[in-house]
Amino acid sequence: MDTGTRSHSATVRRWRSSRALIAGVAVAFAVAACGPSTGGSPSAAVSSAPVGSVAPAGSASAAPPSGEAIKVAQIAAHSGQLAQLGDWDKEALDLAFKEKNDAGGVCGRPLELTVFDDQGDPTVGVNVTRQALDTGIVAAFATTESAVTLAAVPLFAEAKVPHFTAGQSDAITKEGSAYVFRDGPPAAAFNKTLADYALKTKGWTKIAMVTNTGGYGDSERKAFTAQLTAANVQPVLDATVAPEAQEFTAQINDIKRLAPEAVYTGMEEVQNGLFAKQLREFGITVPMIGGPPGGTPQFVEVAGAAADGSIFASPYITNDANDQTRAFAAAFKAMHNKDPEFHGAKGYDGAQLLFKAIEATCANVTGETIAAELHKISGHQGLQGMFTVQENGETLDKTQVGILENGVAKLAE
Amino acid sequence: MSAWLQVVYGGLTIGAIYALVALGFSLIYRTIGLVNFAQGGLLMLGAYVGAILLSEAGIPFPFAILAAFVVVGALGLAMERLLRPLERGDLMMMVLATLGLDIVFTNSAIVLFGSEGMSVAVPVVGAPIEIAGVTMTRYSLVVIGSMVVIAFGLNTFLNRTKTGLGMRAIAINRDIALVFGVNANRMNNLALGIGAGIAAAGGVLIAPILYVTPQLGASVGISGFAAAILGGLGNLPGAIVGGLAFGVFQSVVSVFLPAYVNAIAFVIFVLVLLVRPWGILGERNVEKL
Repeated sequence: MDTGTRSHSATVRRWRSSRALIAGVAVAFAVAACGPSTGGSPSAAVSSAPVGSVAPAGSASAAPPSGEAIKVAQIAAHSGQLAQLGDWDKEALDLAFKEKNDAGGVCGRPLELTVFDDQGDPTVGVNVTRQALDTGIVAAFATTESAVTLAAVPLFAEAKVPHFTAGQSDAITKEGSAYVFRDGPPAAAFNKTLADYALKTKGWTKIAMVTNTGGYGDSERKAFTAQLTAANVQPVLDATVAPEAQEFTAQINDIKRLAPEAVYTGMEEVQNGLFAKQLREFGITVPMIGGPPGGTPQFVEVAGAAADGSIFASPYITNDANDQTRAFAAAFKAMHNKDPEFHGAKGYDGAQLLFKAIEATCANVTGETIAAELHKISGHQGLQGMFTVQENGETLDKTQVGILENGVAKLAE
Repeated sequence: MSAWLQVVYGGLTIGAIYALVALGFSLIYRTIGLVNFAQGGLLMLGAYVGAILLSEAGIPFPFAILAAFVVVGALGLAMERLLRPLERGDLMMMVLATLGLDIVFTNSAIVLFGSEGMSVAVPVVGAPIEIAGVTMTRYSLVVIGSMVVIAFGLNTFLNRTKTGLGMRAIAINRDIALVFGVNANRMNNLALGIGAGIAAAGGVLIAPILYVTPQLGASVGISGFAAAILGGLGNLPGAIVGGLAFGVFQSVVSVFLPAYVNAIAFVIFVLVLLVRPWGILGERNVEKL
């Protein structure tokens, strides 16, 4: 029975055990701080190793690469809600780098990929970009998110290091940097395709828009609105939500009241999936249309049955489009035991463009020379289409329309 | 009118989750005098337990809630034993320790479950129900109903069982309760265990609505804490009122300024506290902490 009284020795014992406990909690803090970061604090490289620097047994007869490694960084989200974007991109880069190293490297030298986690946060992204640049990289895949890319563009321009971005915001290539390159189409291309499909193919004129205020969502909103304006169409709803919002009752309530023919969304995979789920729970069955997030496996996973019928724009709808995509998909599956999708195709295409540029600079491999060679690339057939590098860093301007049927992406008719 | 009722109803659904988190905060605070900043982390762990049982083991939903309550409740019991040496000293050390534990829970979830998150299918399917122009999804009724059942169960436990009365006695006057033979350590232990279990149940309920990630506890936990303060920290009916009110605040704000929901909801929260610092149903004289 605890009567609340204590002796002096008991007090001393309790204080000693308190000190032990405080020390234990301090250790827990330290271990937690050394563990994976969860946002708000700069994160160091999560992996650093020459990828594919050892050729597999019985493989190609190319001499293994030797000499000083050509250092490339990947800066992307590998934690938080956008982690899948970074992971997809890295998987494709791992494949591309391994294939190239197995074939003898570039300029006879091995390629080395170092991965940095920007947590999908611009502040963290800027910090890890500085860290990456300090390691002597000559190029980077940075980043997979528009908002972080916009923050990082000036740093790469100042350091004269070219970087490929998977971000879609039109603003990225309007910053005036000669060192930013897109490994996929910009928001304008996606949304022109979508607008043509919605207005001309389907004849929809009552369209509700729900986008987030992050870099991606904002660019999607602007690009799609521009298309509607050009066609003299006003959206019946133009609602914005915070990038971290996960509950959409107010917006869905408006959609229910306004009864549009379609709902356009500008949100990343997880948020888009949650929105789809909640929309269908309310009994609203009109089609959802939007950019590539609406056609990815993660969207299907989050939305579940609500993903069915989602219409999306993408330059890479299916792995079965042609021999090149089938070969890529087979190699990807052999390495990662899963099928690739659009984001992986982007990363792989970006890697091939980079390798091509580096190979033209063997005598002097620097960020500046690589960037100059990248700007000369024209008519390069990639997984997503024909790449021609423009002065502003744009590379592709065409996409297609896909639709999800039973969780599988197909070309829309 | 029905549009506004819809907005309020939407707020009540998420508010029910906040109410469960707030109940845990208030129960622990009232009994031990501790603000448990690991409550969000416990909700997140409960969400993962539920997500795994529902998605991968196919366990029926009510059993998933029960399992999460038990598993995370046990973790709460262990937490109290770990923190007990600090109880009689400076309570602030205990509060700081719960902050540390929350970080440990979050990072442990990343290590155990990965950083990408899990999606949970809504366990109740079917067309939504329309009443007076308000659309009520079936799952939202489950969430609100579950909150009511859990709150009722807690009330029954605290008022109709010897152990529950013992916890109330410790909360009202610890010294006199000790004189009457109430085991304070055991009551504190149970308070943290039950508080953790209730948070875990909230985690399972919210898992099909949101996306289960290691960061889930941070956003829901802070809203639950605000709800507990709003209702009156330590006041159990206040926790429910605060939770539902905070959910409705957020829902109403999302109509006007959806991009700034959290910021404005917290501004409203601060304004309410400026007028009534002890919370909606709280007591003027707060002795603890």
